[in-house]
Amino acid sequence: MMESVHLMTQNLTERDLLAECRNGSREAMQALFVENQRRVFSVARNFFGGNDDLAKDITQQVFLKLLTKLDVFRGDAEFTTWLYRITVNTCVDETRKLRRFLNFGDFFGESEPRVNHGQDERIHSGEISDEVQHAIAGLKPKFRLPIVLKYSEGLSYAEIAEVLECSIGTVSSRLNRGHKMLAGKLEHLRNEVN
Amino acid sequence: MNTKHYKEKFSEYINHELPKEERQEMAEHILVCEECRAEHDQVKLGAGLASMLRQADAPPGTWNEIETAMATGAKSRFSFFDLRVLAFGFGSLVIVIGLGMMVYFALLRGDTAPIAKSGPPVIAPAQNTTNPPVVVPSPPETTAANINVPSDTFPAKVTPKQPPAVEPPNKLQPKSGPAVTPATWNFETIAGAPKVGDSSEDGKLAVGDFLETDGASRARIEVADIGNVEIEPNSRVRLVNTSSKQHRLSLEVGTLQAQILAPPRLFIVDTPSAVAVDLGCAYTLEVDKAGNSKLHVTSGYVALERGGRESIVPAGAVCFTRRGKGIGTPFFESATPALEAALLKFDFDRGGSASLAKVLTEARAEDTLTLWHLLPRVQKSERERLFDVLNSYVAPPEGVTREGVLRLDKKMLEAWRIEMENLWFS
Repeated sequence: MMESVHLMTQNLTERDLLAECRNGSREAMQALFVENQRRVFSVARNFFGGNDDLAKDITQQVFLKLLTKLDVFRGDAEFTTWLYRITVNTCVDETRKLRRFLNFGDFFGESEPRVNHGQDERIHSGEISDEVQHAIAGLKPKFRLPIVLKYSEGLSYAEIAEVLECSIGTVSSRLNRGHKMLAGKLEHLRNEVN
Repeated sequence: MNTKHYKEKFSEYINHELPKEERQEMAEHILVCEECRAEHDQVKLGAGLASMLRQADAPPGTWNEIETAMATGAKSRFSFFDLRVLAFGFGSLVIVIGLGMMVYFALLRGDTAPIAKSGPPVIAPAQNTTNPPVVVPSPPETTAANINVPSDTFPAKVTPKQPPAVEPPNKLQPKSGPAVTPATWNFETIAGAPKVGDSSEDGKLAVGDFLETDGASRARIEVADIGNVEIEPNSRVRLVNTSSKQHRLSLEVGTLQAQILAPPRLFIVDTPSAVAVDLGCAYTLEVDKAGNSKLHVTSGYVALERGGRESIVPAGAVCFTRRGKGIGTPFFESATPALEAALLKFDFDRGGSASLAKVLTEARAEDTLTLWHLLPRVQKSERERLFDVLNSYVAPPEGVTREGVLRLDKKMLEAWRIEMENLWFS
């Protein structure tokens, strides 16, 4: 099964693959998933501050939507643009659904932080990346999304504008502000940035 | 020399999104403009940090679950019947019912005023550390324009238009007869057998009396004619004072929930580690056996005061106190667990710069409540960082300068706090 999926991703164009999916080919659907899962999972994971479980849920939601609504995709935009757009909208929808209730237990007495970075400790690059990811997750979605699409996915300003359905100027403005917020939050990591 | 500033375009410049000629112009400008160079450095730092984001593959088995969902015909794992949606819906229903009961109770008592979010709280200057100031209500019509900051303590004290030196508004008077503050408070049993002294009968609580609940008992105390307090199980309270000028309860241990419809600062609760000053609100106050407390405000504002330090806690926010260590920094209940943990360490366990850095990393726009309270509680170098982060969320209004904030000018701090409230309650 995996071998045939692999062959599909190698030999079929995106248009052909989509056509096969519309025809109900499970191999084609899996090939589509294999080809694009990294994009979707990465956006979701970086949007939600490294939460793998939530990212996996988002990934499943996105592909379920995608595979049940392939007929809706008219081909007037790049498929990846459409895919990113569904992913972004699903992430934003999930943010609205998520509610956090205060835990009334264990606040009296000792309370240890979950991550403890002393300033005199050497910080592994993976930990820095986690800290950056976490700080980005603390930004409002309108600032978070352009950063994730730009730096996780490598999209251009024009591509980001197309995904978010806004102007390039808006993308630029939000990235500008998002960068400054990050710099303010993570000034202590200045020496770690190349 | 090109004197045009490019502040909004540094992101494009750093990411090579600009045409060559414009890029060249900006490069020349950055060399000669200190302001733009500083801004460029910040944006560049942010871009460098963001570039640390990594891609990752979905865990093994993800496709199998999708395939299974498709085979069973499930539209989405998160349909309307998602448990979290149900929990949210149920929670909302509970809140609506609770609000409805509060309004009904208020109407029943003849008080038609809703529990409105107070305007900026009014805090008279602390007379001394053992006798906290009287709670002064913040009239609904109080506006930012009426704010002036009289006190030397921090956070900056807010006073609205001077409250009238007369009896509280008619809506707060008892229905019949002249305004009389009873010498005792009525209480009723909600569950179990609460005790007043050796008595376990429903009745009255006089000044000096204790009311105690065991694990199965709850009671409701009528606070004169201004509201009520529910005493949770395993709690012990004492009526300290009751008069037309002040109603005072002491919570030694346990939990109470207060709903007060009165001018601010009329109702006060002493705990072993702080004094909770009602500013027209509803809140839950818990005290543990060590005398530490946790305040959770559900409506209006409450001020926690001790030793010259004060925390103004708005609706939706929480503040801890520790006996012997003072009052903590308020934070919204929606803050991340990591922020809460770092803040507790900073407030009570000498977390220092590392904890503060964690708070800044975790902070969202709403957490400017927390960051604003931290301004006077940190060293100057850290205060500069706090200012920068706060500024990125809410620009200081006209008349508020960076220098003024860094030297803790009370009027400027208060003016900026009012601007931030738009983020807190949006």
